[in-house]
Amino acid sequence: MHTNLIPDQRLVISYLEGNEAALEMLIRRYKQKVMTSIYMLVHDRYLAEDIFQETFIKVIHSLRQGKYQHEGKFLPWVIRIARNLCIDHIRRRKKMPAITDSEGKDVFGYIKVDEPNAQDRIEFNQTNSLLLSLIEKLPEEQREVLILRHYGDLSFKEIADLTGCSINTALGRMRYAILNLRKMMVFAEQRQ
Amino acid sequence: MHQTITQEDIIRYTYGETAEEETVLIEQALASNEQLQDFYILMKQVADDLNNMKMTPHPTTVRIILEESQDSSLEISS
Repeated sequence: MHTNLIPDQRLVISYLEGNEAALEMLIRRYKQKVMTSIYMLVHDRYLAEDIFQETFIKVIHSLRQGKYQHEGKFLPWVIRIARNLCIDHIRRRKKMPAITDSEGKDVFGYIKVDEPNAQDRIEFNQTNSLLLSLIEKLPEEQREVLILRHYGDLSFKEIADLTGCSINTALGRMRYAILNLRKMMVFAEQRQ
Repeated sequence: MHQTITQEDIIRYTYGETAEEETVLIEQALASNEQLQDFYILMKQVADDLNNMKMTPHPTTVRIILEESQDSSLEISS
């Protein structure tokens, strides 16, 4: 049987029965979507690796503690965990006291976490690299809806519940994200 | 009943979030409304581009997760 045909729920049950390979299959199935989502939220490759690891370790513990109620939604559940960890990290980063140099400038200001680094760019071709940089320029709320809907497979209702807005607001943010991306693409093409 | 189809409806349609009856209405609107067609094409294009943009975790990251799973499994059984 092709492993992609095994439903998530069966893999979860199999894992809880002691089959470690079932977890590996689940990770293999969703690792790109989860990793891409995390990366787009934190804009840092090494941090994204850490949060990816933390996410799945939390998934393991939650599964073993019986905290996961399957409703055909394994990926959205994982993405919710990943998003919460990203938010925790961003909050912690904001609370960090500024470390200044001799001229009083924040030393973390030298690190451009908003720009994909050279290694990250290698993974993407030129078009994708451009799109990635444009997505990073979107307002946070628009970028979040785009990521949660596209990679996280959350419905607009689920996104609305998760982010504390109405479905119409979530849809409106998605619409603006699409239209803003087009505007920025046209602008970028004109500059080339 | 006349229903105005919006760009938000096209977004829900693209992601398969519309009911059967609504889907028919949207497809009818798409067949006759150029602005909606343009937005639908744009949506599909962005969705395709996003599908092509994939990042993979380092194999070591995955290995650590699997080792953690095995270790915690042993803790539970012992």
